[in-house]
Amino acid sequence: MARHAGRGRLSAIEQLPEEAEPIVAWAMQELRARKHTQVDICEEFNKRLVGLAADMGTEIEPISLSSFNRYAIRLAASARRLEETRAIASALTERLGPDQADDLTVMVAETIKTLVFELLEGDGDITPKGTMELARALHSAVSAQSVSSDRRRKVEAEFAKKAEDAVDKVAEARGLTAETVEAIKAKILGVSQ
Amino acid sequence: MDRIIREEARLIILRALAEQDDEQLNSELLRVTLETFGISRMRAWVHGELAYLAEMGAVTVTEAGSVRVAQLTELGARHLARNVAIEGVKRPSRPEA
Repeated sequence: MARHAGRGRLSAIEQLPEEAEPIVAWAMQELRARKHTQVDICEEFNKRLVGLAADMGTEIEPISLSSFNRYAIRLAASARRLEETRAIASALTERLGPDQADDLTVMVAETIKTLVFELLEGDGDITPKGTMELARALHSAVSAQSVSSDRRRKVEAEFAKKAEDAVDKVAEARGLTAETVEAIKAKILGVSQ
Repeated sequence: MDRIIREEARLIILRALAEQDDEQLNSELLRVTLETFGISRMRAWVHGELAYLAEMGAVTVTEAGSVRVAQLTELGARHLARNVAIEGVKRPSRPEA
């Protein structure tokens, strides 16, 4: 699917009045539950819109099936990337025991998840913005006076190792070139050092 | 209307946390998760909902720069299992027989 630069044109669903949001949320849940066909859900969706319009005393144009489908596909693609992220990250971020769940470990795990998600989502030109934000936060937390130099070295080494593993796993899944992989690693690790 | 969306969003957040191996997720990925359920909001709005859930004892929150990390608590997990009902959070539907 071709992706557009910028935020693109608003879909018909995004242009619905704010009051329609619960109906949109309901429809997306129904689609996920996979118990009814998309045609049925779209029909019921439009019925609910008619009801809402009557309550509001205005008119709402029904949403066409193709427009409904485009919106559903876009959200489903995003949901799939989140699911892939979960699968890849679970191998890299072991479940924490209550005793190890200190802030730094928590931040390492989340930076890795965000990194994986952004790499999966990116289109060749990779700018992992959220990862940078988190990596910077991690870096400043590690540099805080209260962290012993021993712990600091350990967290930094752990982050570097996990970030490299994460990039390699995504590279495998998405077929990135060795060159791109090296560029991403340099960028990510450049922030933490 | 706003209340319904918030209660729904809080349940989606708890579920998203429970799906993670480490039962934690940051606010940016939670924002994207909500978007896939047709709830498009700013990260600041997600932070507001996390604050509510933390207040109710369903999650704990760690600050990480401009992002926050939520961790599911025992109480949050009990809400998902329908053992308790936390006010202001939609109840999960009953499992089907």
